Parts: sequence; C-alpha cells; structure tokens
Amino acid sequence: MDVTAGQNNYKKIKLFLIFFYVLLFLSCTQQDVVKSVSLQYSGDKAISVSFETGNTQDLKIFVRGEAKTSVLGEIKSLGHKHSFTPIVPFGAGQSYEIRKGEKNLALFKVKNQSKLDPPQLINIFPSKDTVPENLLKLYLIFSSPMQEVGNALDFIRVYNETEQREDELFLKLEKDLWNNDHTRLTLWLDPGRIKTGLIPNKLKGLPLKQGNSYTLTVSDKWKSARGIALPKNYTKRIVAGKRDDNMPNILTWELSSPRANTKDALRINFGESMDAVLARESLRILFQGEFSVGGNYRLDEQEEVILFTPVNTWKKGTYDIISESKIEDLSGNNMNHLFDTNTADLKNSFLSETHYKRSFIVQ
Amino acid sequence: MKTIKWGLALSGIILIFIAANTKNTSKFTANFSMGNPEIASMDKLTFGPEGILFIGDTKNAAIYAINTLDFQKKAEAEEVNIKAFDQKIASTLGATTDQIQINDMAVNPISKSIYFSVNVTDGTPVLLKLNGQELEHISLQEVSYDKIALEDAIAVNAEDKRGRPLRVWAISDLKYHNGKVLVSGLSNKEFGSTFRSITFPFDDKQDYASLEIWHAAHGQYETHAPIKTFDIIELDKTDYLMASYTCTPLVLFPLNELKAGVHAKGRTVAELGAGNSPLDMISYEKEGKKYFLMSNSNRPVMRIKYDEIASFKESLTEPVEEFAATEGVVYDNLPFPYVLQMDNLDDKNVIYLQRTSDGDLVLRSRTTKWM
Repeated sequence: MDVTAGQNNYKKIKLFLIFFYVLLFLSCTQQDVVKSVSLQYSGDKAISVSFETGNTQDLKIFVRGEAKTSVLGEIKSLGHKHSFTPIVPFGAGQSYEIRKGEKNLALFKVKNQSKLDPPQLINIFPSKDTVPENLLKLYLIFSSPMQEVGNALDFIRVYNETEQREDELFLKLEKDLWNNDHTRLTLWLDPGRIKTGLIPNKLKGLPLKQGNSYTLTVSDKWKSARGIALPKNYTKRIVAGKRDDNMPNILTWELSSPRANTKDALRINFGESMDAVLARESLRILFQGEFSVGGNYRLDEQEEVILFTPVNTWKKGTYDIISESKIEDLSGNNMNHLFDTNTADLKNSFLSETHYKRSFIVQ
Repeated sequence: MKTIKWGLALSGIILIFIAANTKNTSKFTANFSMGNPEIASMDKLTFGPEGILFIGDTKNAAIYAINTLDFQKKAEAEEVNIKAFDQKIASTLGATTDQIQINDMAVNPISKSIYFSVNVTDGTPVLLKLNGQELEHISLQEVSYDKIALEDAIAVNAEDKRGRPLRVWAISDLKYHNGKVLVSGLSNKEFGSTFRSITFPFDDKQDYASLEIWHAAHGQYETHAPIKTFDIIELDKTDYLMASYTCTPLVLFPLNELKAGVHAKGRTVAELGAGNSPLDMISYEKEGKKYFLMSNSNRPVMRIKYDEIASFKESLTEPVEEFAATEGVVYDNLPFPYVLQMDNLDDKNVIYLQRTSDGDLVLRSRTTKWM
C-alpha cells in the first residue's frame, strides 16, 4: 500500500468534511435568518406578512411577548419566499414575532390607525331629560360601527345625583342588543323591576325613582369596530317624572293640514314623546285607502312630533295614517296593551289589532 | 387487454365516486350543498345528529347546519384544565383579550370535541375547536351546509307588503331536540319575543309558538316577555321547554304544545331574584337521577333535581306574595360563581368556562360526581 497516497486521501476526506460542515453551518445559519419582512394591507387591515427564509419548518408567528400560543394561520411558500395569512387580520398597532423554536428571528409591527376619525355618540334617545319613572329603554346612536366585543354596560355608568350613589338601571344581557351594523344599541331598564308585583320590583322598586335625577356617562374607553376610542366622555341628564300609564291612541294625535299641490310636511303631534326607533318605522301614509305615499319621516320636538314630507305633491282627497300597533311610548306601552298592565284592567283582554288607522283630508 | 385496463380504471373511478358520495351523506345531509355559507355572526352553537353543528346567525337572521365531518366516536372525553383561556384564544387570533369575545361553546356529543364561536373587535366570526391543549381553526370556506332564514312571524301574519326590513331578533338561545331546531329571540326594539321550532332537515316549515307566562301579580297571562335561555328536560316521559325570562323566573312548557296558533301556557317553577339573569342551562344524570344546572350572571350555578320539578305540579297562578312564600322549586347553590358557559362533555363530565375571583378565565371539566 502507498502510504503517501493514503495520507493524501485522508487529507482530501478531511478537507471535504470541513467544507461540508462549513456548508451545513452556513446553510443552518441561513435557515434561521428571516429577511425582507413586509406586511400586506387590504384597506386598513393587515391581512398577511411576507418574508424570506430558508425553510418554514417549526416557524411560527407570535403576538410579541406571548410565550406559548402562536397565531393560527396559513403559510404559503415559493422557494425562499413565504407568506403567512392569519385567520383574522393582524391587529392595528400590535407587534408580532417570527420565531423558530425558542429563537426570535424577526419582529414586525402593524401600523396604527390613529389617523382615522374617532367614532361619535351622536344621539341618546329619549332626547328629553325628564322621562316617565317607568321608562323602558334607551337607545345610543353612534356615528360608526362600535366594537363587537365586551359588554356595553362596562362603558356606561349611571349616577343618582339625588341619592349620591351609582345605580344599576339596565338589564345585563349576555349579548347586547345592537342593530346589524353595530351603530345603535338598545338598553332596557330592568323589566323585572318595572313590572309591578314581580319579585325584582318588590325587592328593589322601579329602576328610576320619581323626583330623582341621574347622570348617565358613556366612557371614552369605548372603541369603534376599528379600535378607535370615543374622543370624550358623553353625559346625559335624566330626571324621573310622572308614571305613564296610557296607551298611545292614534285618535288623539294632532295633525296639521297640508295643502293640495304642495309638499307641505304633515305634522303629527303624538302628545307625548315616543320611542324614536319604532315611531320612525311604524307609520305609513295611504291615498284613497290603497296607494302608498312615498316620503321622508323626521322626528322633532324631542320625539313628540314626526314630520312626513312627501316625495310628490299632495293631491286633493282622503289620506290615511296607518300605524302599526307595535309603536311604543317611552314606557313601552303600545297601541294594544300597557307594558305593565294595571290590576284595574284585569277584566279587559288585550287588543290584538296589527294596525290602527286615522284619516285626514287634503284640500 | 387495453379495454380491460380502461374498464378497470373506469370501474375504480365510479367506485371512488360512489364511495365519496355515500360516505358522508345521510338523510340529515342529503340536502346539504358545498360552499362558503357566508356566516355573518356566530351568536349561538349547538350540535345535532351526526356531528352537524347548528350556528345561529343574528346578523343574517338565519340558522346554519354545518356538516363538521367530526363524527369519530369517543366514549370519554379527556380532562380539561386550561387557565387564561381568553388569553389563549386571543393569542391564537393574534389579538389581546380585550379584542376578542367568546360567544358560545358547544360539545360534539359524538367526538366530545369542544367548539367555540368567537369574534374579534370588528365582528369577524371565527369557529375554533379545542384539540388537546391547542385550538384549531375550523374554516368554513368550503363546507357542506344547509341554512334556513328566520322569517318574521309577525310580518308574515301582518300581511306587510311594504318591503320594509324585517324585525331583527337577536338569537338568544338555540337547541336541537328530536328532529327540531328550537330558537328563541329577543327584539332589539320593542319588548317582544319569538320562539320557533324548525323541522330538521330544513323544509321551510317554521312553527311560531306563542308562549304565555303567568303574571302572578297581575293575575293574568302575558305573551310578550322575552326568553333569554332555555333547555329541554324530560319529566314523566314528557318533554318540556324550561325557559328563563328577562323579567320573570323559570317557566315550564310542555314541548308538544309549542305549535303555531296554540297559546302554550307555562308554569313558573323557580324565582331567581332581582339583579340576576340566567346564562346557560344543561342537564345531566348521576346515579340514576337527573339534574338540571343553570349558570347565572350574579349567582353561583344552581342545581335543581328533576324529581323536585316533577313534584312541583301546581300552576303558580296565585298572587306573588304566596308564591314568594313557597319559593318555588328547591335548588342548591353549587360553589361555582361566574360560570359563563356550560355543556355536557360526556356522560360523566361537564365542561365550563368560569371567571375566577382573580379575574382569570378558566376552561375546566368536572365530574358530575362532584356536582
């Protein structure tokens, strides 16, 4: 055997192994490098993050600082280029880490949305301060969709100014009652306390106490669906007045007399403030008993009045105001029954009409 | 030879096609179609037969039936004890705990898998399944499903042809029982309620039950109180709807009376007191006896024995003072306050989500032996 040749071979193998290990090391190092991290936005939502790295085995995305639970999503790869799409868009202003095992390879932050207009609380119904002591509900109207997490009552406080203490007026529901686009919230004053004789009513009385005044505060911590907080605290004064034990009656409403060939507004004065949401959607106008009259409704004078402006001019003849029986006053009394039936009315069975009619003549 | 090969290949393809089309199709899923159901909100979840998940969607005013294909039978569930469960969900969604909401939880009675409907700040709904200690996303991009729109009973009856939007009923509870999907809803406007029973598989038939509860103080029945949560219980071989109301206590209705045009009269069996509202209800069996559990917003979990309900037969039509004196059905307070969600995990265990005194949200299983 040629010893020199053997030694040469040994050297060659040694060199090859060193080269192989260097390559392996470089390769491993490259596997653990994440480059070119960039976020992809759709509108103002960060829908995915793209980056370059050797391979994505054991690679996960975490909310910054989260030790165990990674963000669920899907990684799509094309060579060294990868894209991670979370199942819901990344949070605005939130920082995330790209990790492999315990090793933190990259950090990225989603841009803030602070330049967006903050939401506004544009109305609280009833808009008047003095309400019946048996007030049934309030509506909060916002300028843009509000957050769909948490409980609304976490952001609403009621302070009884007369008795100098915080009061819990509203019924706590597992899921708040919003309209579909989350701009209108319905708050019920605890109906178990309003219905006289029920145990909650007997133990705690009506939520509002006649003669007491209250301040309702809506917190500036409340955020929109886009995560922007209200710009300030909003307050509303509520004074508990007399009890309302009367059903709305279409025959007692005061009507104006719009003139033929004009677009005069028909002014309907209910004689009391009505539920703002139901009043706007419970009425319609018919001409000659069958032709629907198109137009716009606008509430006025703290929901005591509704103005109907027709699209086309009034014609001479008979018109009907049709009101659905579900229309309610502030105490939840509708055209068929009182919210809280009096024992005096025991012998009267509930009315069951779906609509009530009132005619007027245009001349 | 070539013809035989082609013949064999074709037969194979046909067999595979038949297998694929028969494997997951039953009388329940025969009308299902594949696709994205485009669910807008997942307010309530409940399981039906064969791993079919029902999802109550308030925004779309519809009930969806999803074939989860999760029907591998498991007799016993694994023990569950996960702390900071809201943190876990939030991290899974790349969010913080104030940016998520757990809407409902339901256990697949076949696989014992626990499902959660969650949404984030902007309302995007997400369906998750617990797999061991980790959460798994159930994508609804391409699933086998069916749906039924929740028609507005009042608008239908009122012959309202003005094309106005139908009333929005926030789905307050959803259960499947003996071929029927039962749904209760709260109105976000007038003080009103709806309870309907929908045949499954869906055939567009919806029964609107008119439920009357006894208003003891006023000495008459009323039909307008909304149901917050309900369950079905069996007493003396008859199924009853056990409903909890926003303004009155627990009321029992015979299920077979809940039909269109029938005013079912309920009887009050328990009074929960002021400032409290029930959150969830389940039933379980222990040592041959059946129990009913109810979690509450301001009270611990209450346990009522079926026997107690069955023996409480009188109709509570007396003035409320006398009712208060009897206190209705006897119940025990279990040492579990602030239980937000409950379900039967298997025959011997219950799973629940609880907010502990230190503010942590825990997901735990517990044997009914200790309940």
